[in-house]
Amino acid sequence: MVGRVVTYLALAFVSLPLLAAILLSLTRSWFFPTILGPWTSQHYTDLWSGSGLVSSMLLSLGIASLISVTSTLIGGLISVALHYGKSSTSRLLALGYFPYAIAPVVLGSMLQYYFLRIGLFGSMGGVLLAQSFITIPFAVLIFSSFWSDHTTRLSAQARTLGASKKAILYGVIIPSARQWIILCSVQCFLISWLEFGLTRVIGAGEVRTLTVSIMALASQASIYEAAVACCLMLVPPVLLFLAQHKWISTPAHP
Amino acid sequence: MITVNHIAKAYGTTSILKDVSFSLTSGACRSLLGASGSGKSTLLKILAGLERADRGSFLYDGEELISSPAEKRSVVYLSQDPLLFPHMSVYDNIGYGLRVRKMSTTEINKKVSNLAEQLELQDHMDKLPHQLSGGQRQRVNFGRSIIITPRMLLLDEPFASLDAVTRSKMQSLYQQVAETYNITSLFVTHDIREALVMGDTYGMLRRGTLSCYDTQAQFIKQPDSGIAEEISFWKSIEKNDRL
Repeated sequence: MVGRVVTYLALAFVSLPLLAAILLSLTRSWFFPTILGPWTSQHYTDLWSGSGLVSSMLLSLGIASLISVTSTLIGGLISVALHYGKSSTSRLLALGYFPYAIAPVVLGSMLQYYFLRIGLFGSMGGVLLAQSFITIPFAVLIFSSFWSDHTTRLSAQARTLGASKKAILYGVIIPSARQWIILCSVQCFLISWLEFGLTRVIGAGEVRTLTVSIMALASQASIYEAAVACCLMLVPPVLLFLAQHKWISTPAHP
Repeated sequence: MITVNHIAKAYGTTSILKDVSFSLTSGACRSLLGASGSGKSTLLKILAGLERADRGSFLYDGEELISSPAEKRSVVYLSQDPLLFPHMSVYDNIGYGLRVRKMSTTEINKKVSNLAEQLELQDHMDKLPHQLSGGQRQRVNFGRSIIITPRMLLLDEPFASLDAVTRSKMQSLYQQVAETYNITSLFVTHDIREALVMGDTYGMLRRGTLSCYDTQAQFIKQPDSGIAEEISFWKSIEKNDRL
């Protein structure tokens, strides 16, 4: 009984906001007390006529994709260096939690001065660099769970079988880390895709990602356009979660 | 011919191996016994090139291998955990050493198929390691090590995690395959019976010092080999049964 109630509550928790966004995006001139306004697909067709949402979405997609690729790559390389390095990794890994101890908007304010000095304030390069402050430590933390005694012994086994370091990296390590690579790239994409505070501060309104546009529309009381933007916002995460589930269904360790 | 001379290894002030020397003729197997912490695994890792010795030499037909990197030695270390590559099928795991040696696909295919049949793995070639039983995984591990015809195979308690029946089958299977491919090996085990079954010659590592015995009789005579206790245990069981 309790389990069923919890299930229904969880379903309501997930579906009600989605339902509201979808319904609002498909109605117009909705006024209380009517339950639903007249149906229309106008808001979606307006997307292509200079609303700016499509360009915001493309910009967000571009930034999130770039962040996903670079953070996974850099985070992976740092984790390799930490694993094979002589220094104490636990202390360095603890530093990886630093960006999560501070609200993004506060982190943005702290970085603002330096970004102004180096001329990256209000630019896409600045937003990319600022978001990397969050995603690269995240990637390092994810990859740190990959490196274990098992990985070391697997590499040693490959060496005794005659594999060079390069062959081990490309033939053993990277394929074994497939789950971590997928998880990391998807999560970094989502962090960037959903990021608002840091992007708003460092982008200074010049870099209009989809989240920045949604906030602008909501503050202008353009609820229907904001609902359309919210629906657009949902598309990549839903697709990624479905794809991620399929990609990482094969276990990496016996 | 394998010749190991005066190998020594210490971690800080703790000496793990002291002046270890032995020799092994081509195709022979030396069983190596020793208590936990006696330095058995360290010795195997030094011979495999995964650890550096402080001093000593390791010769294969007169060629010095002690300073060669692990990937150039052709000395394969085989542990209790089969350590198969999780993303590769049985076929790919067995053929791994040939692929890194850039052998042609046709030749790899032929060699892998032959060996898989000997190891009774022909029906599992497309399976991934997590789809195999413990015994099957260890057979793949053998196949992967033997297919490259290594100069020496270092077996670190390879059957320790298997049940008694599978263990016995694996011992016979390994002996057959090792004979076919003329594999020279060092076989570390805690099991005296296994040491006697698998070895042509024997060794006992005691606190970093190795004693070698070339015959079973010499080995059995050693008071600390544990064999006397083993025999007296089985005799006492037999006696109890009669009563």
